[in-house]
Amino acid sequence: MNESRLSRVYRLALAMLPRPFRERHRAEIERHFETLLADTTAPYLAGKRFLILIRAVIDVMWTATILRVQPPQPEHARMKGSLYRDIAYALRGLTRSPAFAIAAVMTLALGLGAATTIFSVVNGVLMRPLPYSSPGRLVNIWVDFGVGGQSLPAVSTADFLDYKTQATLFQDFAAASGGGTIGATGILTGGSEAPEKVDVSPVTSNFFPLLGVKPILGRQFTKEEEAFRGPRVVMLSHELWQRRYGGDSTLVGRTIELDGLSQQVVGVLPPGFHLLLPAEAFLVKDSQIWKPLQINLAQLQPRNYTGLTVFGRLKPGVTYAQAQAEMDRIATWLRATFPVHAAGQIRIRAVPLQDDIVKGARPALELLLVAAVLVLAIVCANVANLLLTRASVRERELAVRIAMGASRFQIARQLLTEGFVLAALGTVLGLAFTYASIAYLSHLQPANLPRLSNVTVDWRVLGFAAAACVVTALVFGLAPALHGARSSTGAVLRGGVRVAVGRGARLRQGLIVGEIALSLVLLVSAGLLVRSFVSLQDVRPGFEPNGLLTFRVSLPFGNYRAPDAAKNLYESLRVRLLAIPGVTSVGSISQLPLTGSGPLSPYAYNEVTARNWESVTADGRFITPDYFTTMGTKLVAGRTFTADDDAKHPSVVIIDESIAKQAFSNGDAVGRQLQVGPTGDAGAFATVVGVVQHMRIHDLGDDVRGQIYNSSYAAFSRNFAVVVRTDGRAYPIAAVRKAAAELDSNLPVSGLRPMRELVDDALAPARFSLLLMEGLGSLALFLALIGVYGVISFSVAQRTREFGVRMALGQAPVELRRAVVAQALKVILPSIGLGIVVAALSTRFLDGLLYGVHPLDPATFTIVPLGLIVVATLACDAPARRASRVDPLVALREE
Amino acid sequence: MSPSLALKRNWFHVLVALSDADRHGFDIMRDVLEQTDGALHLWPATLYGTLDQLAGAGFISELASPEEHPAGQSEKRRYYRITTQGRAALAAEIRRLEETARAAKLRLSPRRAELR
Repeated sequence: MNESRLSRVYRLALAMLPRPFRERHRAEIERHFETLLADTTAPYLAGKRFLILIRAVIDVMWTATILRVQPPQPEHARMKGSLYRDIAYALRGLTRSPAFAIAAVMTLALGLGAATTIFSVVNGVLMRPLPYSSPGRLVNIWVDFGVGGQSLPAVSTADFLDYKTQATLFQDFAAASGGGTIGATGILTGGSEAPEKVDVSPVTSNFFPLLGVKPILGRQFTKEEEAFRGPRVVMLSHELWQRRYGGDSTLVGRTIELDGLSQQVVGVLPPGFHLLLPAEAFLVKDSQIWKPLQINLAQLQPRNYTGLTVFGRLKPGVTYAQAQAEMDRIATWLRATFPVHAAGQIRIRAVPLQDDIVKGARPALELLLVAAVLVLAIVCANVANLLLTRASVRERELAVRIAMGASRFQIARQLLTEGFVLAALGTVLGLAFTYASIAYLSHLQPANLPRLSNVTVDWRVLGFAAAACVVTALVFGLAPALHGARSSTGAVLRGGVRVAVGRGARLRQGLIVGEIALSLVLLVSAGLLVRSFVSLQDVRPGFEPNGLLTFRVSLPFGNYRAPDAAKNLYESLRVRLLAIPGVTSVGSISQLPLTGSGPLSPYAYNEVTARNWESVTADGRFITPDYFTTMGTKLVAGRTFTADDDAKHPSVVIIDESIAKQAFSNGDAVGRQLQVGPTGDAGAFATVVGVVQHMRIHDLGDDVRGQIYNSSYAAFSRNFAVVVRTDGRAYPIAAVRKAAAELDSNLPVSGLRPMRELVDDALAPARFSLLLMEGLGSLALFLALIGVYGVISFSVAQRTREFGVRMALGQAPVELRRAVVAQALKVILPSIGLGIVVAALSTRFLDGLLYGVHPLDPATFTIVPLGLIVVATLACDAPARRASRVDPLVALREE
Repeated sequence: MSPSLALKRNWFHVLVALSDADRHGFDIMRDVLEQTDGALHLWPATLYGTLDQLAGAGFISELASPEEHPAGQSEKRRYYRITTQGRAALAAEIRRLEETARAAKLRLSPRRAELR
């Protein structure tokens, strides 16, 4: 918040002061506050100013209270001790009925704590700016190819260079690349440390300057270092520098050995730097090693080879709409100039980087925030009920005070003050609850929720808590305050307590109806998410994850230079792995399922797709013959690869069902030709030899792309993953390590873990929102039950005498009990009905979060309401039983 | 008003601030901060509330016309001056504090045992 905004907030707060005082002093108070702000000195300027605002607003609230309670009086002695009067009175009142105070404060703490926790997650993930300089001006470039074609955050090198020369509203564009075809990895060797596989990302020299990231040691890359086959220089991540090089500050300027080549270290990135990217980002990752992107300007790749992740920085003052309009112009020019873009109907989108990164998390978090607000509404209803109950008991006291000359306004103010005191206590406790839940949530670490480490209690969260406190205090305090102020003195004083029974009862019942209905909505939503999660867990992803062990191997170029070296190593490894007891089958693939987007493989199956090359793409993977058997994936038709499917034989592919259906809808795919390279290229066509079951390798809930498999034997990469099928009794992790070490003691084996864990990680975001929703749902249920119990108990207590009379007149205890339950059901049933209607209208907003469950799922809509009726009825049973045990003599004597 | 009654803390320090010069609100706040070594910060609403109360009690007055403002000072600010009554109240309070302090000191001193 800047200075002027703080002043604006303060000016709003001044409205609390009584008008005559405000009119007299407003100008000076405002100037005083602004001087206080202006006098603040660095560091922590913003924080200090915010604290000044908070204290000044508290000061205004305080003064406003004092001035209203006790207008200025000449006798200064009489002012003594009156400052705390209202609040002290409220506190005294609360200590006199501790049960009420504890119930109200705890209820408020739960509701406010839950809402603040959810808000802090929303704040950390969605609202806090990215940790780059002026992050609001950063955009990520997406390229769309025609109708029904691909949309990817990836740009060709030639287009990227054209953006830089054509755009006028952008300060600059910077690019990062995934490097080779199969991820960007390298092997670090040298020194006394063991060889280590690291991620390597080539970036343009302006990449870090564009983000506003400065190396803590050394320098940025220079323009000269972008020259093709230019200097071999690298920057290191802070983590790698600390871990492998012990934070040696003399490392800059020296060389390290990467993939057997010496590279000069020119800089070290700051700690905590992370490359934040949308999930779709192509190959580029948050690497340990960065090197300059050295583009061969003399021989640019075709414009449909989209290998770069491109960020743009807008000039100051440029809106996203203007930036988009400019990219539209550039796209028009590209279509007009290059036939390949005309054919592909290219479109370019400049997406605000922050929106792009958090878009996946947004729907679930927004839903949770709405749910938290509903819980807060239930809390308000509950506390309002408690206050109303208390107010009707205190009706006599209030009536006496009115008779003694207290104005109705004073009574209302006193009740409202009580509300504020309760809300303030609840907020403080609720914040403690928030701190604890944040610690718990970050301990859960849902892998795919971006930026969870950002979730802390900052000034936005505190502001939210304060606002929630004030709003709840007003909401739950208002009804009793108005009700109290309406007290009719005569009737109450004449009639004793009994008159109070009818009054407020309707309001209390209304609140209960709302509470039960809202909690039903929450419970139905939670129920739908549970059902969705269960069906997500039951998804057959196209492979059998249980009993499957996986790991990755990266062979250093230096020691495995020979063409067949990687293949030979894999074959000996396979033999050794198969010798381990319990291992039934071993296969290999270039990239494991559920480990990132991976390389794409364009294909074409008719004239249109051939002309618009790259308009349809599949996941391209290289596998060994045993891969499908090991994974438990069904071969639908044809055959799997054999050892003969190598580079010396005609090129063959295996495709999945979805591509078979799309490309060869009119018959058997096996034996047909699939175009796998641009028209005119040698080897543009490959023969389909097999069709397999589709695998969900990106998202368990969704078929993202089809898959095209090539034989590893045609080109065995030094980077590959191994899958080991075991009989499921135990994962032979140690034996696998031993087998690898026996072959080559330096063999970098990484990511040795069961496939089940990868699947669980993929379920983590769903589990996370489910957990929070379940928490909110149970809280709502708990609060609603307490509400029902409280209201029925109170009504039974008020009707003790009536029950006594009825029993004296011969009514059986069972009948009384039944009558109480029937009375409760008269409230519960309409609430359930209302809740079902509201839930039916609102669950369609859940649609995007549900998998395999209809938003109006009949089972959920039957079981949850029935369950709620049962537990709500049970909640009334205790008071009902109390009614049936009333002793007529005692009840009648009470009067 | 009996001189034996304690002055409120805010009142006391504002009166002390005005005892050597006419001051405007922000200046008073700064002086009180200085007097109390930063212990008492009069935030704006409290400050002007206190000034109203002091004026209501007749202990201070607001300078009405611009001529009365100290030379070279901004006219837009409202200046306050301590009244005779205010000085008397402050003097009484100082006396009271001295009495209290003396009484307390007496108790602390070794002679206390003999006096008993």
